[in-house]
Amino acid sequence: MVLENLLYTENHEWVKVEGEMAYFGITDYAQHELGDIVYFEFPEIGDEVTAGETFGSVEAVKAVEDIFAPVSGEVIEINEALEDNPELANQSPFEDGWIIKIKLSDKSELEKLLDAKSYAALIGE
Amino acid sequence: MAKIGFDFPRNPRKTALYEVEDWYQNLLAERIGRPYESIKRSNFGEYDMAVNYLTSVFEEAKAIEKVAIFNIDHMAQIQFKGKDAVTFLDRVLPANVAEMKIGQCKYTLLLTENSTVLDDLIIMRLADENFILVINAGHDITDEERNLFADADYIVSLKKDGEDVNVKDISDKLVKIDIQGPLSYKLVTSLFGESVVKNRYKPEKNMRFFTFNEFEYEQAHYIISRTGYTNRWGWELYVPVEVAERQFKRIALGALELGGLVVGLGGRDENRISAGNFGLPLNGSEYDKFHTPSNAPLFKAAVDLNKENFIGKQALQKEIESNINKRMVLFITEGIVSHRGIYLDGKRIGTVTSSINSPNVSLEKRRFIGSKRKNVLDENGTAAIGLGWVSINPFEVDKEGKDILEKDGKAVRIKVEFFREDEEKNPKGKPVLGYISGDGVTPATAPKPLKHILNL
Repeated sequence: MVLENLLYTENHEWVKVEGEMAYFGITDYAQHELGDIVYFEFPEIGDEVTAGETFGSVEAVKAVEDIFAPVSGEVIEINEALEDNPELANQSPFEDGWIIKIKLSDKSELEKLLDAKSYAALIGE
Repeated sequence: MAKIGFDFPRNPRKTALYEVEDWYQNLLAERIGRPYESIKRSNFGEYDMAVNYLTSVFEEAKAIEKVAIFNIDHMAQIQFKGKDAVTFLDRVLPANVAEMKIGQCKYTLLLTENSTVLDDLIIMRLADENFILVINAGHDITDEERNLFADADYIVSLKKDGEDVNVKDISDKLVKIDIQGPLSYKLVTSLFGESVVKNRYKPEKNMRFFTFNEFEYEQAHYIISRTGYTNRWGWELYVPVEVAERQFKRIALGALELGGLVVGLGGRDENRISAGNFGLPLNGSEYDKFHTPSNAPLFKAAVDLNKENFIGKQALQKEIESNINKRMVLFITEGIVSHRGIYLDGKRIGTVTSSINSPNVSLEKRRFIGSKRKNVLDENGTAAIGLGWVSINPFEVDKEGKDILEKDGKAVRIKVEFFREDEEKNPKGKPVLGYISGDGVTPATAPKPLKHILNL
């Protein structure tokens, strides 16, 4: 499953842009590959994240994977619901399973991301 | 001489149960009301194996509390027949083959001259001059370019001129299906009758741990052994390929009726690490051409050092006499620690070789980690379990040099930290917390009398 209104990375993160803000998450493909998610490691509110660099990790039954920031910005909010229920990222990866919200520092970085069609092609859908 | 090992396959091979696994996936979709999707698969030993079915790895890892069914058709069976079979196998393998009774099986190893591990295996004695070796997946391939040498070809290369031993890969005739967990007795006897699990020498009694029977069912010939790589009560069934699909269906349906599941690679990996006080090593993870087996679980079962000779004995003896501290240890951690270094009081003592999250760690054991993670502290939470090699023994030893695993009636648990490392093996980043455990994850039930499960 790939949603039309999102942007994507080759590392299977998604970005949803709302004005100056953006939400990050991992894709349905990523959660499916990972299996049962048990734990997220988050950045702190106020941290700067940099496009292409790791800002946290997701731990599933067999592996722990770094999560890379699709674009740069300042962390405004983390999804506390994932602290109590990390499986939300399995059940609703594009909505309830969002990971962090950032204030974009360079909107031009968005142009480098994949659109839904390119991402769907990447994962063979 | 013609090689026995297969050529390297162009594509991963399919087990004889590949198609019927999809029947099971459809059945699951119907039974548990989830939408059908194709089975998640991964290459294991050049076989296309199910990681998990429509049920998750956690659900499947938990099935062992009732009954867990494994498709183990990717493992190979090599038959050794002939009047010199005993002396030949005894010269190669570290187990005492000559003293094996007909109907007995033994866990043992295939070693190099340097006593490092090529494979671990089960040997079964079917008759005075007839043995089957059950070996790991992928160890049936001989491919010079890829530097692969099938176990059978390696063993045959050690044969002396004139020795009367006939070696044959019979894997294509047998399909191995494992039935593990406390309800396995009920399932096996309801499907094949009680006689198949009786002691062949004392039919009024049940068969013992590490023995097997041969039986006929609907004109087909089966082998059933009281073994399995979970350290729980259980059986390994060798089904003739012609009836394997039909029997897999009966077994899978029976397991579902009892609240069990068919379990893929993921759940099986959990089940072997959570097995008993020490876990069970896996060839390719804990064992490889660089590791010797001393001070690993099952070493005493696998190796008879009183034997006059076997391949690797000299090197092994030398290592043991030098009083090495090296050990395989089991640990419980707040998260996955694959490939990390193990640190005791800031000092590096070893490396992780296996790590997987488990739903089978008790809350008491999870609390002991000292983690703040919610998933670790939840009533129905999880923690990671794993195995690794240490070069410094973290346990105190008694006068006889044995590790002290219990003090004042309590299991010894040693808190350690797990760090990622740079190329020079310096720790970096934040540690994952955990402890090396003297009491493992779940108790071993496999060798306990069957009377405990007869009336479940």
